[in-house]
Amino acid sequence: MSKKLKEYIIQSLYHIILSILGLTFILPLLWLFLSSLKTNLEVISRPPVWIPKNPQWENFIEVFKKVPYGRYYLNSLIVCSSITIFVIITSVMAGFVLAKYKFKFRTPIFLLIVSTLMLPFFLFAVPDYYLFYNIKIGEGNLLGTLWALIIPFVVSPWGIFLMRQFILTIPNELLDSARIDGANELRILFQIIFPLTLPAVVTVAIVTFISQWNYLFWPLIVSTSFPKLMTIPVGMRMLSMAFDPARNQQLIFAGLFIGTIPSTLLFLFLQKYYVKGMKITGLKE
Amino acid sequence: MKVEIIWIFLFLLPVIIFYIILVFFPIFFSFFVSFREWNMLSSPWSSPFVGLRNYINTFKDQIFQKAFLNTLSFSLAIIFIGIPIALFIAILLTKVKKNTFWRYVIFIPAISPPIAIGMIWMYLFDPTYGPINLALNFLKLPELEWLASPKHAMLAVIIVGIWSSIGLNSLIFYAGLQDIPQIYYEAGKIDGANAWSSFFKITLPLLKPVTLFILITNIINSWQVFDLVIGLTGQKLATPGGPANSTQVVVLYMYQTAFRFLEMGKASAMAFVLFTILFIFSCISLLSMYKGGFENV
Repeated sequence: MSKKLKEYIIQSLYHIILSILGLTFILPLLWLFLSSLKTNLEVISRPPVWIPKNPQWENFIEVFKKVPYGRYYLNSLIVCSSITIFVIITSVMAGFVLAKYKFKFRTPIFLLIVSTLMLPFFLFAVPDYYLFYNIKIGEGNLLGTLWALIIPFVVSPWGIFLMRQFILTIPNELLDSARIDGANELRILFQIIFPLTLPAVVTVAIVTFISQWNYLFWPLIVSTSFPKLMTIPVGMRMLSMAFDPARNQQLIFAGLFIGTIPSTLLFLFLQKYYVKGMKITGLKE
Repeated sequence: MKVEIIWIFLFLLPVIIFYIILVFFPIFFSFFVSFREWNMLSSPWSSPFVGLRNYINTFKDQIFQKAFLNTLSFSLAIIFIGIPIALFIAILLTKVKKNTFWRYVIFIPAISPPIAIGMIWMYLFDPTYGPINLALNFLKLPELEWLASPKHAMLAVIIVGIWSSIGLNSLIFYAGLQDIPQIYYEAGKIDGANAWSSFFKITLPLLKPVTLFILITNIINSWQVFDLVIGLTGQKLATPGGPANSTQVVVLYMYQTAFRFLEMGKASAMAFVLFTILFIFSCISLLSMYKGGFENV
């Protein structure tokens, strides 16, 4: 057997194994998409119908009509974008200080931040609830506003860690020559550090946005008391309560599909940055 | 020099304020409340002090024990089944020349909302209409009740848990594999190493920092499983964690204790028990990252 043929056979074998494995990952999501276009009869038929005969596109409209999915979407967008912006600002500033200034408590502060990298949020649920409930704003309290969903996540130890590692690679001479030219530290931050770390900033942004978009735990707690604060993941949970699964399973699927689109699209377009961010925390870069 | 200190202070100010109010205070507060009997409606500061009762009740609580064992088996399954599968897929990816498409496919479940994944799989596991039972039927294998039966429900949760852990793990493994210089394998070949021995003697040892990182993040994440269980078992008006607490997990039970039964003291005690376990793992992870990452910067 020639070497080329052998190589070809081995490659095809790998592709076949990978296809079978890959199929188990894509099938459930493909099933979700196809099912969101089915009629109820097609959803509950046995043997199962794979491809809906007449795609029911109006299922998607139906979801928005029957549950305040638009409201959930808007809440999610506001919360996730705000958190992302705050995380970028705080991470770049803290990362800059921890990378480029020498001062007494630099190492202890850095180690402290890194040691809270994996602090689980469940520890904060009860105290944060109590804290926000007791901060009065006008007639109500902080817990009844979208700020309650944003504030606990405005600083990300992971973001600070990543920005610091990235800013370390910027040569000090660049900063010093700007200082000689009379630039103050704020200008250095905005005109040198920020543009040079843009790839890292995008990484922090996309990872933060996607993980917040998918986040259920804290929004579920807050919106149990304040339903107007529901975000998409909480709304997904509500779908199975709003629709009878025996009669409207296809609408539940449609709702799940709509809610999954933004994070998936963001990932598909900015995959490079996402993967980089995942690598930096775990591996040497 | 003086000016610099002001800038340092200014740039770190948001982080300092955040850590005082939203990290240190909550940890102190949780610890304080865990020795009190408090229901969120009264003032925590004047609530009765009950000593270690919340901790003792937590360990005595049969549902907590059930949740603990379930979470433990969930975590062990991900570590001993999920991680090896992820490594296998990562190795497969390095062997295939055009793998971009497959990398996307394998990764998409990892960025989908876990609650949605749970709800999709709840349908796939449906005893009557679900494709999984239909496939088992087709293969002439016995159909299972899955989430409808206390016997198999946790098995279903574990299967989905493994499935959704693979995407991220295999991508990190893949990145780690690519950092191994090809020259080691060539040298191994000259010394007569076959595929197996080069895997055990070259790949695995050089992958150790990556494996350690994956191990620790997976332990920490799997102990916090919450969304998946709600998605899989929270259909309609059913209480998540059912049937009959067969899929109860630690964070879910903590959530229910705090915000359903309003036993804040007991919930905080649970949080501290779990936090202590995870804190030990965090320290290990810190050390491993210190070795793997910071020393050359």
